[in-house]
Amino acid sequence: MIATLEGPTKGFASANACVSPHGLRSESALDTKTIAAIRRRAALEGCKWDIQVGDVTTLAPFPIVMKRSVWERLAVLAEQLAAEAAAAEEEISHRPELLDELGFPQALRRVLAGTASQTPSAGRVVRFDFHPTIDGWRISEANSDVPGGFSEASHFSGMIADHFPFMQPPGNPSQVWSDLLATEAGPGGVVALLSAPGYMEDHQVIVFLAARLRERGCRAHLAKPEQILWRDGVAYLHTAWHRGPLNSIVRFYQAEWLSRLPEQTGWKHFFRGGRTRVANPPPAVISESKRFPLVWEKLSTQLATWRALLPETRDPRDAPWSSDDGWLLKTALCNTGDTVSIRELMQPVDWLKTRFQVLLSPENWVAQRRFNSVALTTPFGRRHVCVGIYTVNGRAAGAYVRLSEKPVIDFAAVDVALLLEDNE
Amino acid sequence: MNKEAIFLIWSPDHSLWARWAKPVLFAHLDALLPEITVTEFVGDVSWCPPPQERVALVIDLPGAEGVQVGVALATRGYRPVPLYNALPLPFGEPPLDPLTGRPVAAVNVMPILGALKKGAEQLAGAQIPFDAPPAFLLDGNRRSEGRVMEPDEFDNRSICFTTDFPSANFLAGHGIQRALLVQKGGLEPQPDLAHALRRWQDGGIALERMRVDLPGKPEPFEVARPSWYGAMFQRALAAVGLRRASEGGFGAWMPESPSGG
Repeated sequence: MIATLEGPTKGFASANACVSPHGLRSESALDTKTIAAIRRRAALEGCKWDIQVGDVTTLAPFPIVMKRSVWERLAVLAEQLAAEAAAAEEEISHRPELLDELGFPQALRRVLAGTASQTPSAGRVVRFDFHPTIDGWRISEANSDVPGGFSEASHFSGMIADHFPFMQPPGNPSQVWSDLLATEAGPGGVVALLSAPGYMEDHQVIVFLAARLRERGCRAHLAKPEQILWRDGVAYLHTAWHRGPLNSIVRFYQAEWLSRLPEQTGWKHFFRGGRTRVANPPPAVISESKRFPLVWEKLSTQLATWRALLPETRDPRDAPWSSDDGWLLKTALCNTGDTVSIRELMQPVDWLKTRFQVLLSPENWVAQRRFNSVALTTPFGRRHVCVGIYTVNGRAAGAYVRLSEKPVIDFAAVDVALLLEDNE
Repeated sequence: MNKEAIFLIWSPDHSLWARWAKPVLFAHLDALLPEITVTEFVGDVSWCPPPQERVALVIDLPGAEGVQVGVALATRGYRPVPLYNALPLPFGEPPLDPLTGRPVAAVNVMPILGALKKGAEQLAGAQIPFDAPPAFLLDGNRRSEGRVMEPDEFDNRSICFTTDFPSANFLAGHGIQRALLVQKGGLEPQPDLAHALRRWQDGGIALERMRVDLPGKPEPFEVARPSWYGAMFQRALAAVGLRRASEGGFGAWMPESPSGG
């Protein structure tokens, strides 16, 4: 039980403000020809298909460098967060009254609160988004349900690392994750990887993972959830290119979207009553909810690390967000950061729309105290950094790092490789 | 030519617009090269404005036709920019159902792949200026509108997002104040494209449109404000009650921003 685990020391949470900044620095940019070749390989071999978003080229030509000792401490924190989240999810999944507070659609709440046995897990991957702030490292959220970024964190970062021989990436999350998935599926296992039609940015994640699974001897198939048939709890893939039972399912398809599928698709089996392993497992959506902190006081599980690292979070009805710019708003299921709403960074009309939506359905939103992100000097200028640390089955496995001009990481953020250097 | 060489021709480092080229189809080229049938194009692009007029073209034509028009436009001084977002096939699978012999994918993009491959050979020696006006190439069939999906098909329908295009500011910064939408079978832009065009319109770009299957000249037009225009929250809207279509795709989505967590 994680209740006995220690949270971060106050010293670590705050002392890093004095370290030049947080043990991070930027390297200089690679030359134009080299980075162009890397971007092409990322696109053609690494399934990085959103290399340009509007006017923004999304793969940075330079790495961010972190002191190894800082990484080691962040990795420990990420593992503590993962352990605490897992324990809290287990407790909450047996407390329907708490599930009602997390901002889930009704159908999802019902199935999570059901009594049928939980569908078994094929593995668990979470990404915790760490930010250097004036008060030390803080997290903005956990991407618990369907974290992405594997290609950027693995393939792209590896290519950048090849040009900096004395530094190394902090891990290869796609390798660790696909090793685990392949092991769970068994030799020659048949695995379906699910995503929503039309979302190219989601397809690129599962195609990249499918390639890694095929390298490991699995028979990996792309599909959409409606193409999974459930018979006696066993999942079958019913497509024109493969028909038969599955050893496991990897979903890059959000839990709340599953719950909006027609009942006859059998979507509930992804959560309860299924016998085929599914990743991420059903309770993952609990800590995905940005309203997760609102139920902490009612838990016996201790969440010391979460409490130390996540800014104060309240129901919007209980926070002075409309008069105090020290608060931001986001939806309970804000998967991409796109609903993070900060008045001073928005057009007045957009802020008004957000206000209206919050007033209309406060139970789907959360107010969170803002932290003061410390920007880093990079070849692009001053940039805010988000270090997304993966844990795979509870162990730190690498990082997906993004840079943003604004203190908000959204779809226009730039992906950047993280490399570790030894301490002086 | 391998896929990297083909992509490099369509997205050369020395082009102002190359970075907007979508790599999805190119990433699949090596595996699919033996399957691709290449069709010849006999078409007329004399309708295009001289490149000196600095007009951005949006070529929204079905299948390979967009690529073929793009190649023809290159000879007139435009830079074709492929914006195809669809996966051609389920990963590593053959294009036909082994049981029934029918195509496994809802949208057949194999002709587009063939045209991109052949087009690369045609473009290889082209001398297109660095800042030649762009011709953005889309598949008019991308949404497979009006077609009933089979439940076991590979659902590779796709849409374009506003973020697939450069901003109005970027266009204007490079001397482009007009955009011409080129289609077949209709004049109204498809709903996903309407968002991007409306953004340009709001940014001061004058819009024109024409059909290539009818005689006539480009006509000015305005894009009405699309449903959910400007919504930044496509996934979050789903979370607060916006339903996706029961067939698992395109019920009500905002062609605005990507992606996963």
